[in-house]
Order: sequence, then C-alpha cells, then structure tokens
Amino acid sequence: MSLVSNAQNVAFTTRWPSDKIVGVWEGSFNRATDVTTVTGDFGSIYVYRIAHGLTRPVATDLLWKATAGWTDGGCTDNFGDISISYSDSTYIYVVSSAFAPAVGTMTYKVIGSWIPDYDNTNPLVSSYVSSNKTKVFDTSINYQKVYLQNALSYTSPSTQSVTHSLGYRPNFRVFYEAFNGQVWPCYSGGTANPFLYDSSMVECIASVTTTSLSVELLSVTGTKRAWYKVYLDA
Amino acid sequence: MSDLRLDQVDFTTMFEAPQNYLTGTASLVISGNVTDGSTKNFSTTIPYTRSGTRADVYLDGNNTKVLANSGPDNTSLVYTFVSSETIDVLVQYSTTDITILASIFNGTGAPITLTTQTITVSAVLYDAPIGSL
Repeated sequence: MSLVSNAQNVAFTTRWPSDKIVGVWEGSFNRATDVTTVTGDFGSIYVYRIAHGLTRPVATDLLWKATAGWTDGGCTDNFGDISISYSDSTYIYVVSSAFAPAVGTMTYKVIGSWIPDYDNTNPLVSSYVSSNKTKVFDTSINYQKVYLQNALSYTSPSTQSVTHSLGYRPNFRVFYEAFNGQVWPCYSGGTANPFLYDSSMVECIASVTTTSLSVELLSVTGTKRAWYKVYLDA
Repeated sequence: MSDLRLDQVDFTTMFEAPQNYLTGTASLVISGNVTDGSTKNFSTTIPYTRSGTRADVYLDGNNTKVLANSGPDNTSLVYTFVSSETIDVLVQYSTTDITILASIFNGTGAPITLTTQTITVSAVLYDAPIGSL
C-alpha cells in the first residue's frame, strides 16, 4: 500500500500537519451573576469570559450544558437555549444567552486549537497536556491530516473559493473574524442568528463540494479574515 | 514545561492532536406533511464508546457538505425546500451516543408536504482531552 496515496488510513504522516490542542477549559458559571454584557445596535449577548493566557486568539470548540444535555456549540438544546464560544487575544467567551439574561448554571468544556499563521508573531507557547488524558499520541487511532490550510482576506462581502481537487467532499473547518481580532467558528443565520447583536458583525457561510471549499463572509467592513482547514479525510 | 513556536510545526508530542478514534455515518430521512405553525422532527444517532468524546458532525445533501453546528444559513444548503419553511439542527451528546435532530418549522401560513430527501450525517469522533460527559 502506498502511504502517500492512502495517507488517510495511517495514524500520522509528516507529509501533512495535524491540529494542535493548546488548552482545554472546563467549568461552570452562574448565568445571572457571572456574565458580562456585550451590546450592539441589535441588542445584547451575555458572555462568560475565560482568560486563556495566550497572546493571540485560538480556534474554539464548545460543549455546553444548561437545562438539557451536553450540546454542541452553535446548536440549540431541547429547551431553546443556545450557546457558542469565540475568542480574542486575551479571552475565550462562552455565550450564556442572547438578547435576554438567563438564570441557572451553565457547564462548559472548551477545546482551544492553534491557528497557524494567525499573524506574523509566531509566539512561544507552553506545552499542554490535559490531566484528563495524558497520552498525546496513539498509533492505533487516526489523526486528521490538514491537506490545505490558509487565511483568506476580505475587504467587502464576498465569496472566495479554494480548489482542493480531492474528488470527494472532505472534512473541513472554518473560523473567521466576526469583529476585528475576534475569532468565531463558522456561523450564519441572518435574522435567525441569535448571536447577531450588531449590524457590523460578520457572518460566515462555508461548504465543500468534491472540488472546492467555498467561504462567504457577510456584512464585511474594513478588512476581515477567515482561516480554513481542509482535511484529507471524508 | 517547555515552550515551542507552533506556526511551523507539523506535529509535536508537546501538544495533543485531536485523536480521531472513530467515524460514524447515519441518515436523516425527511418526508411527510407539516401543518401550519408546527414543527416536525427527524432524528438519528451515532454511537460512541469513549468517555470525553467530542465530534465534528457534518451534513451532506444537494452535493454539498456543511458543519451541522454552523447555523441555519449553512444547514439550509443541504436541505431541499418546498416553501419558506425553516430547518434547525441540534447535535446533542448522551453518555453513549450523539443525537442529530433536524427540526422543520412550517411558518408559511399553509400546510406543506416536505420534499422527500435524505441528508447524510457523518461524524468524526475524537477521544478529546476533556472529562466525561
């Protein structure tokens, strides 16, 4: 078997990079008393801030639980609650609620991953190994290989396409600047977006076909960026 | 504890790479009638075996693939509309499986018959460095 042409079937290859988890933050907060209000011209969102200790934003994946079970960031739970996480150069923000304060306790798990070449600072980062799982590499399982990654720059609302030519619809991730210096996971809903609290806030639409990745940023003013990864696996 | 400049590093044991121990697929088979002002739910599950699992969940339809948790403008790309109904997707974890629930809300002012379609769900499951769910 050629390892090059079957790289998605091996645990790891130096031919393509892997993602790096630079931190995990788990905890809970009081949704009435521990949150900060962020207000725009559409309304307010209520966020819980976590200092991440790094010098630039990280890509965040959120699992959260309020009244119902553990739910993915960006999804509504069975009781109509919804949460998402984003970051800037100082904090990770977990959205407790949007447009109305909430009560009770929210429990969260945030996984922070490195954004390669976010800027030209290339800072030193302290090694991170979670106390939950101390084995960082296991050849018996797979690691998604980053087939393509880069930053896209937008100066107006528009769609950019990245050709991948893999012949199948690959896994992918997109993070983007909803505001300058603030990195959100791909999310868009227009009037159905519960996090859209300001008219200058950018939304993101991203999808793949068998030949390309499409990344659209809406409501762009100034310069906004998006960071994408196309994985070798489908 | 050592430090490392990560921008030019392909792989390092100083940081965990997301450990994809399992992949799963399922289908959301959508059909039927929805009265005005009501919601019809379609769900499927993908089982997992390791505590502390987190998944990237994708939806595939209309020859397009999107992330399931990326909001209605994205999930609408894989759904074939019959009118101006809306689709909301929930991804929720129990201790043994992931539930993917698509809720179709009919606010069109009249009953609708949904376009019969199958949205393929795929998940990349990670043995994430988090505590048990």
